[in-house]
Amino acid sequence: MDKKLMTEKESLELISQMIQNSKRNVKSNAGGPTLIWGYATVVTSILIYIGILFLKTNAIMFGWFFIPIIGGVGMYILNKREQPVLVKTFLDRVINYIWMVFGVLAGVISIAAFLFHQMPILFIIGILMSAGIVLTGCVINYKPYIISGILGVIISFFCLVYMADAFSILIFASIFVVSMIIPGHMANHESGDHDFSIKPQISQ
Amino acid sequence: MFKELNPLLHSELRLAVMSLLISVEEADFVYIKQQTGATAGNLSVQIDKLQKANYIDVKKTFRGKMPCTLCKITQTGVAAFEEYVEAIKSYIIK
Repeated sequence: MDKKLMTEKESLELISQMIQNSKRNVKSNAGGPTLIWGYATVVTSILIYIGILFLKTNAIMFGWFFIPIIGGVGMYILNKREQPVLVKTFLDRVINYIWMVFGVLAGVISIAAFLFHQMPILFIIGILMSAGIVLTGCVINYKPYIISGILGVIISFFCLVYMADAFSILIFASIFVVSMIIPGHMANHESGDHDFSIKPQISQ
Repeated sequence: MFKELNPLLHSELRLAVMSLLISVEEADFVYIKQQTGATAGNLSVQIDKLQKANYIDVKKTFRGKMPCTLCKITQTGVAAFEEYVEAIKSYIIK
């Protein structure tokens, strides 16, 4: 193997092929976390909206804390089910940091909203999460995330318009349908369509 | 004037390993084996040579109960790889 001589062209082709292979791995299973957090938020929002209509008590607002519970359990199950991660890219680190910062911010702002009732919490969280999706889309160069994230940002402003109305909760749910659920399914569908496990044979 | 090619990198498997590692933060031995299609024994030998040249860092750890070997390119490795690509270019653009 060591003695095998390559031409300069072969060397460049090999470098290009290997870099391409590592890029292909970046996009696989990209939609899982987006779907988990998207569905967790939409289901919780609809239950809270129904609760407000029928129970007419402010205590129902504590139901928002089901989002981190459902999302956390979902992520735990997803991590257990998935194959062990064999490669960590620079993009993985950037995306992890984006969602760590946005997630902590969303948590802190949500808790603050229980103290400051005038805060337009649905608008803030909607715009924050949509911006996270736009950033993720820019980092991984995936247009559906960018477009759906921008749409999410636009829809978030309707939460501000209907802030005093319970209807704003349904608008909030629609932000997550548009910015997380739809592009999440698209990402999963696309990663399923492609064979990401190309195995070139390097001569022995 | 042609630049001299680094003999350590001008080997198919070692160059493949370096090319993979240059574009990721770190990679498991199993991943490198899958991507290059090399045998475990041969890959181990080549990784050892790259490690001795301080081109890559090798960390042996555990994932759950399973042992795993993580490889990461070093600054020396990046510099050597860039130098190799520049040298290759001098051969192509002639």
